[in-house]
Amino acid sequence: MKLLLIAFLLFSATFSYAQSNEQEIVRLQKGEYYYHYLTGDFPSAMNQLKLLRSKEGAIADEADVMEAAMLLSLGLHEQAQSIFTEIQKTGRTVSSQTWFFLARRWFELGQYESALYSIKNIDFAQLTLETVAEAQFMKAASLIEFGEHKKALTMISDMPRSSIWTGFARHNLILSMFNGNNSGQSTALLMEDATFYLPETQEGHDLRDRIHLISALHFLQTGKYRSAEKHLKRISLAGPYTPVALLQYGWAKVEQGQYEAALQPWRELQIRFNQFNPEVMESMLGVPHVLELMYASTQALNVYEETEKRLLSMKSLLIQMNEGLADNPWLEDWIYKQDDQGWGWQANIETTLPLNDTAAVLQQLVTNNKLVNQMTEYRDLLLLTNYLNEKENSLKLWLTLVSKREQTFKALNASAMLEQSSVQLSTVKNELKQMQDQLNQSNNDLLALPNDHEAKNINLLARSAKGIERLNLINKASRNVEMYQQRWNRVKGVFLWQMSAQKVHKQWGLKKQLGAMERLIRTADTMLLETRLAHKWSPSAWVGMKDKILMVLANVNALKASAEDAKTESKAALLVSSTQYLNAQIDRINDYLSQSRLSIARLYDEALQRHVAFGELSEEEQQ
Amino acid sequence: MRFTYLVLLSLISMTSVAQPVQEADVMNAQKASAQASQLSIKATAIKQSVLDLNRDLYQLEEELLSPATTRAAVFFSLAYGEFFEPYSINITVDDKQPIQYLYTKRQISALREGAVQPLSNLNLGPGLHAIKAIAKGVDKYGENRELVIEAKIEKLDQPLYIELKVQDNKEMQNAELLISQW
Repeated sequence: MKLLLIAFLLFSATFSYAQSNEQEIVRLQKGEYYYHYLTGDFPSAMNQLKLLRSKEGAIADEADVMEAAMLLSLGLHEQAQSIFTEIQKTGRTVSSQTWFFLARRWFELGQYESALYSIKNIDFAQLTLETVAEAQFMKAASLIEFGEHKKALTMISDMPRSSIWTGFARHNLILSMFNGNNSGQSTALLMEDATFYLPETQEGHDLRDRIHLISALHFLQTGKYRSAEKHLKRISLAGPYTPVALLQYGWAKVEQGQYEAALQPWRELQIRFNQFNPEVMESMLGVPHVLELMYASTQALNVYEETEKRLLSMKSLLIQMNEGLADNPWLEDWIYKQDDQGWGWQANIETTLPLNDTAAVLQQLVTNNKLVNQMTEYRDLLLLTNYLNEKENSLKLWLTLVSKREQTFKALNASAMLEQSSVQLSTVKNELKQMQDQLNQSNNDLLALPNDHEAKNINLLARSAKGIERLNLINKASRNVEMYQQRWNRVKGVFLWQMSAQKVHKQWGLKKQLGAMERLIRTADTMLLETRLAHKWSPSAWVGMKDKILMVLANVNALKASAEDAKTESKAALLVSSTQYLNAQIDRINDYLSQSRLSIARLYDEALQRHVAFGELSEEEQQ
Repeated sequence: MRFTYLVLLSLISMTSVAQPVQEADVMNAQKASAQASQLSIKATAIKQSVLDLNRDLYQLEEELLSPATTRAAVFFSLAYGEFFEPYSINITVDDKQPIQYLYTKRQISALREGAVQPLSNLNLGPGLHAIKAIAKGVDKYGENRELVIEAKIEKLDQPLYIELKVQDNKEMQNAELLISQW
């Protein structure tokens, strides 16, 4: 019975130890997934998910939510959606952190219902303060999208006042209120709050400018020019919204009849920004139009003629660029300029084009989200092709390495070497045993452990004894053998005394040496055992690998071919889009050109009519 | 006056020519949009295949680089990280195989959010091995600090997991480097 109890206790202790080990390994694997996910290395994170998927229970549930977030990050929306639908049906036990990441992806994709479902599952107490603010923003913004302004306002009032996330939420609420034609006192207060409580960072300043701009545009549309002017004045002169602000400021002045004041922001706009900027192009025709309103016809005519020349040169530049677009490396320049060399929807894409003449024209092109998506897709395909090339090369190298490993293993003849070493070791062990026996017997032997000198003396004593014995046998009267015997006994006594005096030291020295030798033999024994194990394991480094590599290599080659095709198609589609954009720009310039020419013709015509009306023509001219 | 009429006439003729051109543009745009969506589907399929391939490659490389019998993985983690911010870590096993790593802000932020960094996969023979780790960084006052640990680890025929963890010690108001193995 006792034996059974002991066996049970031993079994349960081993089982709980193994289980805790397993849990720790799962914790490490989960942490590794988060590391890859948070540092943007999605392919590695996917590999990690595969490991987590093989586990049972809650971690497998969590892996589902992780995978949905990951697939969304990689732009594989359909697959993510099907996993998410399954999650919604069955309900999962998942950590708040994982729900938060999924909510963030849904929100960025504009899937507010799914985002709200994910946020609902978050326990805010388990998140850091910064993450809580972001989650609250996502919730407020999703509620705004569904028109639930009151709930959104309650959410915003719970958020930290001067967080950038609160600023974003207020911005969205203001926009939504404008769209709903709600511009009462509450909107004015909200605008004040939104611009006042923002952090003093670049992001905070840009958001402040943006809130002022949307407010100004709203007031311009509703005819409240002074209010619009108040907001436009507050927009910084070195931000992303400066060109629009300068243009609209000019129009606000024109609407109030302050023509001279309208010219200044437009001149500023033309000096500071690129001529292909749509706001600059609009201001080119705005200036002479205002001069006309000021009855400065000659000046207006001059500016129209200047504008015409400028537009013509811009048009010829665009035509030239359009013709050589296929050979222009602007797209490749843009791709290689990116800091983030990861692929997928979540890659941190820098949309600003490298600074050159082409970029000056095409910069506006990358404000179109559809085109940026196309460019990103081309970039992804290019990176994937590079990745596949790299993998193809490394697989070929692996193939060589595996063959080398196999050859080395076979040529090494390690089994024979190990056998020989084993025999040598057992011989040494026997020798050690013999020496230990000698040491053990030395206590009973008076002449034990002699050194060379002593061994010689023992020999001498033995020979002397034989000599004395022979003399005894002869036993002549003339010889007194007894004297020799006494002398021999004396010498033997002294010799034994000396040997027994030194025996203890000799035994101690030998014992030490044997101990050291035993330790060495034990180490050699372990080494031999480990080498045997290593030899047993080493085939796992090459057996069956060749076939596996060849299979993956075939897969890589097939995939590379289709990626190359898709890349070529993608580039062609991008070229078509860029050409269309340049054609649209040419059409736009044509439109501005016709307007300026029409104005020039009208001004000349008016001048002619005035000339005729006031009789300034000679009779000959009138005929 | 005559000039104005001429301009008006030319404008009218331009708009009448522009009508069919605009229709053709719309057709072209629709065609281009359909092509773009087809291409997008193709690109998505390639991405999915590359992901699958990536998993196979990962598994294969793991098997090739470190067979299960000799595999040892070293991980690094931060528990809270209030008293220590790592700049770099340096690890040696049996005075060989040095592993060195410099951290970026993004990686530290990930570690603080509970991530565990897979530092390196090693190939270790069976038996006992000596491991030494030095984490260099700054404490909460911005002063340079070094956390050092030396230990013995034992490799059996199963994969070995080694975790180096910087853990805050609230009572001592500092951090320490710990090592665990499974």
